[in-house]
Amino acid sequence: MSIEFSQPALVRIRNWRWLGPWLQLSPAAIIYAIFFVAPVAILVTYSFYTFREYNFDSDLTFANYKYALTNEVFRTLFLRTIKIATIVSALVVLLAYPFAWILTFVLPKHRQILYFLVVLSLFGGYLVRIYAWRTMLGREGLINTTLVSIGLIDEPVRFLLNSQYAIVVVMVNFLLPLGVLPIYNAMQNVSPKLIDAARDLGSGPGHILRRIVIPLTMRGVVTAVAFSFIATAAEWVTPLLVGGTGDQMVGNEISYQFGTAINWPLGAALAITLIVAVIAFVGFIFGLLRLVIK
Amino acid sequence: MRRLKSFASIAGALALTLSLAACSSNQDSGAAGETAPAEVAAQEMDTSVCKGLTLNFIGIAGEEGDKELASFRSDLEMKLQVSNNADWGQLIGAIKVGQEFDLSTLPNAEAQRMIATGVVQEIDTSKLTNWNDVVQGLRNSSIIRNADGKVFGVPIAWGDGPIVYSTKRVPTPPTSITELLTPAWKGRFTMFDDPALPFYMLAQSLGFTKVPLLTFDELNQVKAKAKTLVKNASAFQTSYQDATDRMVAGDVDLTIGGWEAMTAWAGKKEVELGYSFLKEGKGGGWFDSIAIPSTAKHPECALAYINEMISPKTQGVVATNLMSGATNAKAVPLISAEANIYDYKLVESETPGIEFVSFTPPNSVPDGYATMDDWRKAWAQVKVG
Repeated sequence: MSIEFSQPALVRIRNWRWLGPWLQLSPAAIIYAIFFVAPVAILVTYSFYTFREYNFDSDLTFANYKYALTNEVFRTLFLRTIKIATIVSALVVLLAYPFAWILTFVLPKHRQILYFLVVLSLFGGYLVRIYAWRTMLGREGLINTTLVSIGLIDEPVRFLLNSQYAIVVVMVNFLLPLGVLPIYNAMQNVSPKLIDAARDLGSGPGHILRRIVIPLTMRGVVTAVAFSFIATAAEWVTPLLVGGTGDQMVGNEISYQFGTAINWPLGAALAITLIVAVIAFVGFIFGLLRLVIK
Repeated sequence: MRRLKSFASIAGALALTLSLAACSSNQDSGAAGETAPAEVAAQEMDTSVCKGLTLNFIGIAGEEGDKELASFRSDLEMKLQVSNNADWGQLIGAIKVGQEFDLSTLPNAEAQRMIATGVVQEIDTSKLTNWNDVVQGLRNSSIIRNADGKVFGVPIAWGDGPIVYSTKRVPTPPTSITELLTPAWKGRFTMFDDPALPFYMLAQSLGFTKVPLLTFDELNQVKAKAKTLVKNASAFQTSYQDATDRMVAGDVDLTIGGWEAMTAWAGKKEVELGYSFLKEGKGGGWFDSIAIPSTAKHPECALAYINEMISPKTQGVVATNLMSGATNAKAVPLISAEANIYDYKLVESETPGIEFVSFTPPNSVPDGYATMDDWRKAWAQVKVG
């Protein structure tokens, strides 16, 4: 016996069908709302307050944003942060791309174990790695003692640690796996037959790389750039532990405003400004990369 | 559950027996290798208010009595939860937003600010049976009092403000902060990311005797010197332990923000550090008190805990562990020889022979003088060069 629905009932069911996908998304959406949207909303609200003598004045004002955008100190910190983040993401891509190429085309038989090693390195403790680099880059660290023992230098050099150089080295080391993974995944879309066909038609390695492989893996490159840039721009622990007194980034200033100065509204304004600046800059890089490839 | 409770009671009784045996053996031999006289036994206060409670502490590591009062807590089946603040702003902010803490550090440099902003509550010292044994110079200090003379903190440690350096790489330590402005010291020292100490000492070196009150012109002159100092520094240390690690590793040779305890920590790693004083900071000292925050859930238990912290026996151990000065005069014979490095005459008289200055401007300053906010903005400019 079949169940027959009346016309109005069918219309009612059809009208509610659109709700299905949204209901399926709702658990993730709720978590996202609680742990991301709500904190950011609170941060945005605080950024319009002011802070006087350890009390918050909830009269809304743009003063913190004006200060963040026009103050020379913060402008210097933003530019330094963008510079370091750009260098780190460029180095990550330059090192991750050949590694992903080797994984895909040169050592395909060993790709699983190499891939596993890349993923495994992500489980290493972040602070442990920073302290390991501090030991290696220090005045009596591995690099200096090696250089002195082979006679390349007479005395240990100080610039290896407590410098922007050290910040870049540590960040590249930490972010390299995050660069390899998306580029490697994108390279799976490059069929070896395409490369063979290009060779048969007379293309050299450079031409194949430029006209076939890179365009097809651009999404992976863009993802690697985004991961590296965003992670570096928000950093404050690495500059604190391996940077010098003149190498602080915006994250350090945000931490200072929230901590020592207890000026949460100004700290919040700096954080929101950083988020907007990073989104804008990453969008600019994406557009530039796409233009270059075309 | 019943088995668990039985086990807990047996374990507690065993712990109590062992700790009493240890205490009595310590008292027989003395923490400093001497017999403790009967009169230094702690006076009793009703501690039953603490039974089964958990106290929350926020402040400097080592000043919460975690090790020193372990047996006291186990006798009362108490727990202590410890939060260590990265800086004083973080501590004040945590209490201001309503986080519940029963005990907090009250440093002399921030005491008046913390009292004025209401983050700590008045302490009834008549309930503290060990209060009158606290050395006069600290007990009577106006720093821990409000304008009405009410007490808001109980001193538990004091000291001076040394520089700490590697004896291997610094044969003769500097005697003035101005020496650290020279190229010879480029990249060789660390300091805290805080304007208080460098601004204070640089102002002294420039002859500004009213510091921490500085006019805007004076602040600009201090700022100019501070730029050179910060450029010369290798890094900002995150803590005393971090500075010690950097000197032990050989990355830096000296720290401006030092503490005698660092020599003991480095000694454990078989590295020798020494301490000395810059003339701009000599004669100045610090003392930390323990206070009851305004958000305390168990103020009566906190009071009993504080009384125990200033008992002679506990003070002897605190001073030994922290290499700081004890605040209870009766504790001095109980301090280890290595840690007994302070001149107690400085704090025994009503007018202390050591100046417990605040390095930063007070909450309200006269017209024409820089506020703490001005100091922070100046420091931000110093750091970017």
